[in-house]
Amino acid sequence: MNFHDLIPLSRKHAQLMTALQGSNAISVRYGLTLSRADMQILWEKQTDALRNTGRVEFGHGPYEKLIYAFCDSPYLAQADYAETLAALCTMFYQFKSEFGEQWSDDELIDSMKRLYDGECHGSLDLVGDRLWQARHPHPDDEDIVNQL
Amino acid sequence: MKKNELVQTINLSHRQEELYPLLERQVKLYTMGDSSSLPAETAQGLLRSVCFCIETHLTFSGKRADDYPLAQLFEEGQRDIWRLTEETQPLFYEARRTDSGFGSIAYRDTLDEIGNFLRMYDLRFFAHNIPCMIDYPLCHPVPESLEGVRYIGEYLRRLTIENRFCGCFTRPSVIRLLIAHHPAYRELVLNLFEPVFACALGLALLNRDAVTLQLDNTDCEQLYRLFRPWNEAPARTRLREAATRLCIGFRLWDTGMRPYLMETAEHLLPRLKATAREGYPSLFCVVSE
Repeated sequence: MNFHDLIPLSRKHAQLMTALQGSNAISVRYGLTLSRADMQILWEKQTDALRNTGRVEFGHGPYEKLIYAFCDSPYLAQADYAETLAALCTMFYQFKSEFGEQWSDDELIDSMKRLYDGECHGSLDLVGDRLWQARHPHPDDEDIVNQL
Repeated sequence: MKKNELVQTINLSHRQEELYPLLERQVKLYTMGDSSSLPAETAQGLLRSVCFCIETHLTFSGKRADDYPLAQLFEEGQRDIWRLTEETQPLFYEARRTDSGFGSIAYRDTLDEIGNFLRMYDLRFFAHNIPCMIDYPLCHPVPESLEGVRYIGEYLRRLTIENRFCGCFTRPSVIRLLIAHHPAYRELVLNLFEPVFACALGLALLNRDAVTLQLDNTDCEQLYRLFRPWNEAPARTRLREAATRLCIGFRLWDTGMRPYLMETAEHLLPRLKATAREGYPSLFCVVSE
């Protein structure tokens, strides 16, 4: 039996929608909200990211944690809020696969946030580069690994 | 357990609603809450393990899957797997104890690997896995459909039977026979029991003392003549009678050993048929002083 047949997708979808609506209550304090259409796009992006990385999600996915971690970031604006969340979700699953089970969800999100707000100044590409560098360090780059 | 009851596969596709929470719980335990997602192959492994535990319990208890909640069957299945793992330890020590040390590298490596299996076996999450390499071939291979500790337990049970049979003969006589069978038997991945059994059976067919493990050219020719012209029914009876004489002669009366020897004797029939019909002398090895 394949586990793909088991996953109750419609229930998962409803749960994610509820979770994202709940997250709006927090992020609205920082001027960030998701519309119903944004939520649907985020669901689709998460599904794509899971498919592309060969992973299976048993919880709600990383959006709730990403929103709580990133909503106070000075580099996040309403104009590209949903798009950034989708990109962060893709990056999250990509590096979950890259790091194996070495990092927990919270540790990875924490590192992404520190890089995003810190030395990467809101550049998602740079965050990705830094994380990749931490996974495949050059012998002279030990300080980067230690920073994470 | 009867042979045809070794494996009971079940169809749980109509009980997905019950199976998913079990998988979800296993994922939480496996990741210890650190991660809500898993690589697909790990998730598939966890699911297979859940099904394996349920199948094992149904096989041993004779219950019908539809009469019980899956969570209960899974829990009881995990207990069955734990018990089987406990029972496999003495089988492993028995296989070590009855190893006559004929020097087969594949045999030695396989026992080392089974030792690793007992250390590395993950019965909580991947009970269906066999985390070791089994190189040494048995005369009657364990069905591939058996998984996890059930495969290893059955393998060791069969190996111990083969060892106990080979232990009825002196070490030099077995080694002489194995060298006659193939001079490089130590390096090759060959079953050691089968040539020993074939020779002993040949001697029993000739009403000679099987303990010598010696057949010369004349004996072999006489053996092949016994089966010419080929007639399957009397040949089968003759082989079974000879196997029974071996069991009596070596006092091998336990319920595991006798059917195994009978089955081995019957497995020799097609080769004996080819030998008797076409004169292809492959079954009995000539072993002289």
